[in-house]
Amino acid sequence: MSDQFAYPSDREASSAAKVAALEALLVEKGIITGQTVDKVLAYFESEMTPLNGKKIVVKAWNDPEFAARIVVDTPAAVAELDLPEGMAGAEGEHLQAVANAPGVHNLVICTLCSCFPWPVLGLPPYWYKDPVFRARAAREPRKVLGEIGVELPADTEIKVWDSSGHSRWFVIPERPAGTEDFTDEMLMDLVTTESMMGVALAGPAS
Amino acid sequence: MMLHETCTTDQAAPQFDHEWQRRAFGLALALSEFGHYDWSDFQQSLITTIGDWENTAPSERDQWEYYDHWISALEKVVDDHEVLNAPPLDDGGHAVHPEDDHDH
Repeated sequence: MSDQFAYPSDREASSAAKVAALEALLVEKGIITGQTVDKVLAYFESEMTPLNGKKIVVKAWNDPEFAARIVVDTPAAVAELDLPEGMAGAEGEHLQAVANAPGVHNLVICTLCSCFPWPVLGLPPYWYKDPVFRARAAREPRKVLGEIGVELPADTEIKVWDSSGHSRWFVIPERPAGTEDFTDEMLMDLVTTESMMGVALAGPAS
Repeated sequence: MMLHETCTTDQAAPQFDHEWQRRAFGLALALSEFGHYDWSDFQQSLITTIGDWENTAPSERDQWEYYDHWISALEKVVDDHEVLNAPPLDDGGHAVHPEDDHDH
């Protein structure tokens, strides 16, 4: 049965085959071993997670001096915390934090590729890489934010930060009201990956 | 243009739709980790690949699939850096973090 949907699944199979073939060739030539990719992925998936970003945000909420330092020299401030060591290539040296405040909302996008701050946020949700999202968020951020449920006061300034290999932006969201008595663990639950990209506010995960 | 529906409904979405995408991600990262190219070289290759797609008329190009671009970029950077001609792994000749070798 041939129909218009046959092509994408062929393409999908072709892409999957290309990856498998390249990895197999590299293993056969002894350039990597059969375990190399699994080891790298295991390290990445266990250590490069949003938990790092949550710790940074909660520290900033609880410590005004740290909050001031994190936006000035982000790598140095991050180094004060006991976080896993970065990996070459996914290192945190280009990390740059921006802080939301009354009247200012920050939104992070990447218009060309996904230069995402992995060490603190893990990998981006797949829709972050969608060209429609990227293009529209750059052009009409207030409208896009409204569509995804972030309604901001009309006089709130929206700053859009375009991530690149040189600056990997992430957002320190505002601490929700009424959380003065929260423990660190309770506060961390309020910090979502989305809130650290500026596509949501801090609050209970929906 | 409408946003993909999942932008509004899919918080904490999975990062990969398929295992082959995860392998492609891990392979690109692993080769960089082992010093076969700088991560910035891979990024530049990805930027070029995606830029070519964006500069092609919609009627002339494939539907958007991020990891197809990822694989094209990976094949190109592997080719440019002649990774397939690299010496095999042996006595740990690849220093993963050469900058960490200082004795303080």
